[in-house]
Amino acid sequence: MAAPNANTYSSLSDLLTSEVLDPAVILLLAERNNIPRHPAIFMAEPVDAIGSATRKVSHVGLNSYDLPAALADGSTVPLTALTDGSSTLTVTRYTKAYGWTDLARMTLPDGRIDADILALDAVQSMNSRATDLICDVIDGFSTQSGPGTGTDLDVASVMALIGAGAVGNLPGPAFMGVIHGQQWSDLIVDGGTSIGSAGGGTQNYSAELAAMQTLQGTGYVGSWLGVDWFRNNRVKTANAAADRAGALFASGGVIGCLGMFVRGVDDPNNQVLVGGNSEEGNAGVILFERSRDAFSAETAFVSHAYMAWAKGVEAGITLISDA
Amino acid sequence: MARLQDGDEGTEAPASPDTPNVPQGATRPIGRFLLSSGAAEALDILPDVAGRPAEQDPYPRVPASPPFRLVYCADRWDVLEGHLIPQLYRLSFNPGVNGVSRGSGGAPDPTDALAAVDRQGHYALPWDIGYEGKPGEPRSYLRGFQVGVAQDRKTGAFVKVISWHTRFEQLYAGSEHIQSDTIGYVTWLSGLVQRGLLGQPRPYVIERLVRHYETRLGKELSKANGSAESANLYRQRLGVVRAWQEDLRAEQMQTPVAPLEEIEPVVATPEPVEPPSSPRGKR
Repeated sequence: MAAPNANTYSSLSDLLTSEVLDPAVILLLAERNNIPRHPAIFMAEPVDAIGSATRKVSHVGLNSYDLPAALADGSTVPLTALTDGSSTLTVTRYTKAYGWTDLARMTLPDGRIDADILALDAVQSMNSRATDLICDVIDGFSTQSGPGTGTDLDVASVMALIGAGAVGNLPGPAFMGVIHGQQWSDLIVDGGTSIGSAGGGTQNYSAELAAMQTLQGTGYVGSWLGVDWFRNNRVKTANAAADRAGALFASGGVIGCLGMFVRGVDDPNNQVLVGGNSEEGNAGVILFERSRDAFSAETAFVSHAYMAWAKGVEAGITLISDA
Repeated sequence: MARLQDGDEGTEAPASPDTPNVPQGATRPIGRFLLSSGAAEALDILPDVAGRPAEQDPYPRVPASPPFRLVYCADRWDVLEGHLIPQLYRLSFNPGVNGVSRGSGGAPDPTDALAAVDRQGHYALPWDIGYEGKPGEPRSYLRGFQVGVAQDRKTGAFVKVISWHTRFEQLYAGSEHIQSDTIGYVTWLSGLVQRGLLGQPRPYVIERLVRHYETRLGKELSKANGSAESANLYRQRLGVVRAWQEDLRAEQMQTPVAPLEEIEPVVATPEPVEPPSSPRGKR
């Protein structure tokens, strides 16, 4: 027991404050792995300056789609009807805004939330939204594979999936596999326990994989059976949430279209393009801007991106297994 | 109900003449403890706890998700809960995906997306498919859960942030868990197939599933560390699809085969072949 009149933590209430912010922050948990630009995703030309927000991507049955017929000598060859089809990409705005009053901003410690951090958030969030939309597409291929609904994904099912891809004429050379974290977990458990070889199914460290993960993001879990596999928890549910619907797909299975802001920005003091790929020569596909409302002494940081995703041809197989 | 007072915790009760200090493990003296059950009497109190009461999160911690139509594809079937059911997928009314655009009023416009579904030979189930208006029967297979509140910047009005799911999924306040009622889902879907609102599985789909589960069962049984549970599951599913296969065969047996004369083969030829006017060639 403290002596009478001893100063305790609770008695010095005017000298102490109950909480002080730590200089570091911890991110709340979220799926931050994203599906990167990959040759298995067909990207249509951007919608900039084309006169419409909708792009129609044609499908055409050429290059061995129709085979020549054997005809008797002297007979007339009939015309072959050219098989065609199309997918529609309707580019839509995706946007997010954070706003602060002056009082809130001036009292915030430096470096906690500023324009740079919000620009980084804009890039990350837009990529996550794109991943979410792609996952909305890949659950709808006409061909499905997997161990069976409500059953854990296993090595045999993935091997059968590769075989189904070959039977289904999926065009190479680039193949992408996107599976949910639960599917990935079930797969490596099966790989590590059923095959009897730790190296068979579990992810081991290798310099090559680490280098690829630097490029492809941490959701990239390796290339196996000719497929680049990505684990992502934005993969959708199926069968009333009993299952997850990942997929294997090749170029043409998933198609996308972006708005690229090729005309630049109107107000460089308050607008900047971010999330670009310098190798492709574009400054950015996300417009990040500062919006000031003097009447309410409020500053908002707003990001916009324009994108569309759709199923193209049936160059994919939906992979359904237990959620 | 009394509350513990400061200092209650950790203070030693004064020794009672009835409870002599007996070393642990030693035989306790025969007294009133052995004559009763020995169960200590609990105090009817609650602990004093400092601090603010925790605020309960009123909304499920599930992200907002757009409404959708379930889509039937004749080639996608599997066994769930002992029933062969179509494997539906979701056509999300998510502007920017699969041709869904945003209408002039801001609502998603799925016209093009639904047309694309039709072109593929798939079928987007209406939300009230199979609804018969029975008391207590929900009209739609779709239902929305409020997962937050957002404020419209222009009007200042607060709008509900909705996450849409099938009615066979249950969300919980403060939790990201989604509870699946697979039995309800299977019952509903099987009913739609039985009533002819959705097509029956085609023979090749059933044959593919028979092969699939025969292979799975064979592999599971041949594994050194095979799971009896998995083997039973595959055996049960194989039984379901084989029963469908036998039913289909029985139907085919009962269906009279059309006479050959009535079958009109569709053969595309450049020109009809005229029989020669007089027989030629070697004899």
